[in-house]
Amino acid sequence: MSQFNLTIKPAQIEIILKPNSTHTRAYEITNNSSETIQLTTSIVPWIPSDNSGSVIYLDTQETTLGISLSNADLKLGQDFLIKPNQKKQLVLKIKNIANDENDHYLTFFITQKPINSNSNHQNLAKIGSNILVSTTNENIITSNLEISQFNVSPSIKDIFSNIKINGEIYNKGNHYDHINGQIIISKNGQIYWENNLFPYTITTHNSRLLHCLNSNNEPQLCQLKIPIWPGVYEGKIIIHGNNSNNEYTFNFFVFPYLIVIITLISFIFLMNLLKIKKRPSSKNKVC
Amino acid sequence: MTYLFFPIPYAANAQQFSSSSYKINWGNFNMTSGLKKSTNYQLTDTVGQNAPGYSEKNGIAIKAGFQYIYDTFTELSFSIDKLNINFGTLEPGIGVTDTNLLIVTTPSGRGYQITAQENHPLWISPNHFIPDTTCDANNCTITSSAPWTQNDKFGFGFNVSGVGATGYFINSTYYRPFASIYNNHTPAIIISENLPVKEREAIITYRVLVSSVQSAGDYQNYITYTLTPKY
Repeated sequence: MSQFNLTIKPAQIEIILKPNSTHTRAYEITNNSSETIQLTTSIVPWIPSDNSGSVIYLDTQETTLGISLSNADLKLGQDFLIKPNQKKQLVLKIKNIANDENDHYLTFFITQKPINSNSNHQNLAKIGSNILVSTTNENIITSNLEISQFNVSPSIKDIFSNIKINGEIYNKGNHYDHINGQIIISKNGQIYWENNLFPYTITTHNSRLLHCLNSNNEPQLCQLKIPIWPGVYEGKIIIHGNNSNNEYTFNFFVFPYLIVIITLISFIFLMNLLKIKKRPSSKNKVC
Repeated sequence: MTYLFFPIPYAANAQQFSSSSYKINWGNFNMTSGLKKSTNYQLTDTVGQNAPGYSEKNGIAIKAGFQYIYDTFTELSFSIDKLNINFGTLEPGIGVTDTNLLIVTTPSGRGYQITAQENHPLWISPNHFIPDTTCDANNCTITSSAPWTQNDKFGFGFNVSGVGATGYFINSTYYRPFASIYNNHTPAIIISENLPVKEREAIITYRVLVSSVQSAGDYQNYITYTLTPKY
């Protein structure tokens, strides 16, 4: 049985707050271990560090939002205990007090603390839930996503090669947004393959890798199944915005290179074999 | 009985209990709610919820009713098998190891990252410490691992094995030192994955190697592991 085993739910919340409005959210913290643990809470701001959703935490706990716990018996930063296999509900209140047009990216941390001072050399664990807040006066936040770093690989597309559609989606807007779009591949005017894009959250002025949504609602590479019939394919990526759609078109050519090369090599080999068989021997010539 | 307290946009929807000396305002008072299952059917319900369903006002979206907790798998879980690592009595020139097992489950659609940070090097006091490893060729750092196999390269470091650690540690001979609060390091990522995982395991191997001139005593520190979902 693990000495530390904690669950937090939800793992992420995304909210839009108008000036002076407040959002209240209940978090469920579960101690799945066989020992009573002491925990404390904190809020730490972060910035995105790459195009895959990783973050870097800032060396500050300051935020221009008003954040507190609404629990009657607990304040933010105050220690509390959870007994084995027990749950605790923490109610977080977030108020837009700055009234600015901005995005706030934070993590609500639940941090383990040693129960007695003699245990000050034991390893500790923290678990966090992301909070993405857009503070705005607007009724509708305008979506402004665009495709970047786009490519279809490999460069030589054979009927037996896994054709991957790669790229990033960049958020030019001033608030976080979600990808809402599709990839459609057509051949001779008929839809050959289509897939929804995974609805990643993209922070402002940042990008996320382009992934498709699989049947389990999980992200996966956007990849065509082999074999792919030879010919010219037209592709279209549609990003749905709240005002208009952003479309990106591309095309690629698939040819049975491997079959042709094998056939050619076999043909040349056979031709050479036939030539050798047909050629009269040098002894006969001398005679 | 289960009850739920949600912020309700209209005051008229709240329940109120009152007498001559007190008044209690309830945001909501459910009669029953939850997930019911049979062989062929699954039902989620909330009876007594004020204004159940999705509502939005003044820029705040509210999903009222317990059904909404079932719409996605939203839990993030983190377990560590043991919190005390004891290397026992160290002998000069002989590396000693111990391990931790970390297990992670992430919500649907999200990867994760785990960072690690020590409070300070293994020490009795700031002047009597075991240095953090710099590996065989003095080329590992808090963010970059390198081979550490030689018995005359003294220090304390760690290796991680598991699917999420392959980008940080090539194999089990690769080690690196922990980021340290004492040295003003920010926590360093030691494991990460872009896709969601269920009960993903990673093994941390701690290694300590001391010289014959190392002072005798109890050397201690602690490591903080932080799990966060990718946004």
